[in-house]
Amino acid sequence: MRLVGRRWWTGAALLLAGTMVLPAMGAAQGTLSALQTDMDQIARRARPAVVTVFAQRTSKKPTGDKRVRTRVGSGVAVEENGILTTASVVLGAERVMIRTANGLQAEAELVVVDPIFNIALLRVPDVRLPALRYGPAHDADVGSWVISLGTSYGAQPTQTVGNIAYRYKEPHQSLLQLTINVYPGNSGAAALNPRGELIGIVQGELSPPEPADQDPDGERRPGNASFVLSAETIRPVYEDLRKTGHVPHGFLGVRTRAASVTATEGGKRTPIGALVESVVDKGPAQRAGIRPGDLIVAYERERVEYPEQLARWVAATRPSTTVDLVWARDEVMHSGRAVLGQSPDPLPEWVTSDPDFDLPDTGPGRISELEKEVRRLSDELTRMKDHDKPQH
Amino acid sequence: MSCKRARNLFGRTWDDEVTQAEREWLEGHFVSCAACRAEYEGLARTMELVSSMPREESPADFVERTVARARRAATEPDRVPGISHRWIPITAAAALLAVLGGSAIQWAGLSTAPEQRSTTQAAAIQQPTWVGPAPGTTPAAPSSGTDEQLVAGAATVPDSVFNHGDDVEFILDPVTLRKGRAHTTIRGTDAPRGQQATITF
Repeated sequence: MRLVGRRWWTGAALLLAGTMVLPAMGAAQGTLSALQTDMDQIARRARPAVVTVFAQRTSKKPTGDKRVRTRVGSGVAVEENGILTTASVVLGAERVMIRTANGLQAEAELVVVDPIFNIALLRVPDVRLPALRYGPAHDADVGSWVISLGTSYGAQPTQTVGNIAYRYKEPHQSLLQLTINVYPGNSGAAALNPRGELIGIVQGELSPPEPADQDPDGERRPGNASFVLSAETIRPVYEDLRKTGHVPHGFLGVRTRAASVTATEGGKRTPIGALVESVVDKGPAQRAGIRPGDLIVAYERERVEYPEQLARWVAATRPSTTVDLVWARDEVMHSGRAVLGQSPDPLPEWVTSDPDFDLPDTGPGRISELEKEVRRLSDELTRMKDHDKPQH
Repeated sequence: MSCKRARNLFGRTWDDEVTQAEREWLEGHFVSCAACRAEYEGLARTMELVSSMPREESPADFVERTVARARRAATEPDRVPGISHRWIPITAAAALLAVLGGSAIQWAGLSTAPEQRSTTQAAAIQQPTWVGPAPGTTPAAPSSGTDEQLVAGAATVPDSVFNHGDDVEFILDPVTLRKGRAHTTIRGTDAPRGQQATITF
């Protein structure tokens, strides 16, 4: 009888194990499938809010002919007919068009562009778009999952999945580094959390490393790194763009130049801050006690190396914000607080855009063209010299 | 009596825990008793079926706990003296069928879920819609030929844009890293940088 009982329990144990193991096996094998299904659902839901942006501008060729250039990027609908993209895509454009995921093509109005935050707002009156919602700030923590949706060559959709690897937090703006690949044309693409909410806009990828002998710091650079401007930074900027048509930028009221020290070995120059040449009378800097000759070395507890860096941080700070400053005078450190004013220009003076985008063409065709021109001028010069020679 | 002895040996025989003498005796009994042989074969088929299923990790202490409970039960008086052991393989087979059936339903559910969900979602997902003037209501087909410009007044993107020729640039901003700071270089701006920067802000 004991053996019968033992067999019974053995059989029951096997059945119990089977009952427990089979669903677990199904669940384990179904995890990847479920993940893919979820990703697919997020992409399906968000894709209609992602568009391709075409920005057209005209420049003149050396021959006088007009040349039409088109920049192609991505954009994200954040309201029914409002699209956010990057300034890089549309800056200086004469005509902007969008193409939706379902093939609609429409003219877009460039409402405003802000190169400080690298953001532009487009308005598309002829198309009603499903807008994406902003995700909460904690969804942009390191390790959080991210799905990027954009478009690339041929306006084809791109979709990548990864994590937030690092957060570059600068005063009043933050850039997220992702572990995903991005593609040409992805500038302005959407970065989404697992609920399909917008947590950032793709800016670009890590620039190619400089040759070792030119890289001043010899830093190791991560591979496959892409960067997005966080929604935490975008949202207030977008609200300003939407309500007032521009982003108010902070103003410190200083004119600075770069300062550096040269190391004794190797002659390497190390930037040490922003040297104040002059201050605006009764401006925020003067009121904080900064004088010409001072060296500004920290802003909001962040080390300042270059004037451009400080200018960018100041511009990214909202007017009327009280900021902490540290400066050196006669080898003595001083610190104080300044209440920023508002930059008098919509775009700070130091951001000078080239309206025609007539950037020097250095392609092979242009080089060949210049070579011909040089040869022609050289021949002309020779003929003129020969002509000027005294006749015997 | 010999049948009862034989059936008491079934479990240990399957587990290969019987002595050589017991095995020879059981084989001899099977020759003379078709009922016992059929019952053992039924048990063997069930056990083989169970053991042929894919294995999955059970909780770390599952086996220990189960064996311990089985041992405790074995030392106690038989609480089901009346039950016939011929129900064991039948019960096991029925339970196995139930489990397999449940798993099949689960697998079927998993394999069909995405399509079902996508079908449901397709209806729920809002697509961009044209709300502008009538002429633009249909998506414009890519134009043919070598038109290099966007056609003024018509929302038509030429083929050349999709062919990414010399005059088409697909934007992806370069980001530079320096001393733990990332900076996006914005195309089209000419901000002063580095040692030459003299700026007012």
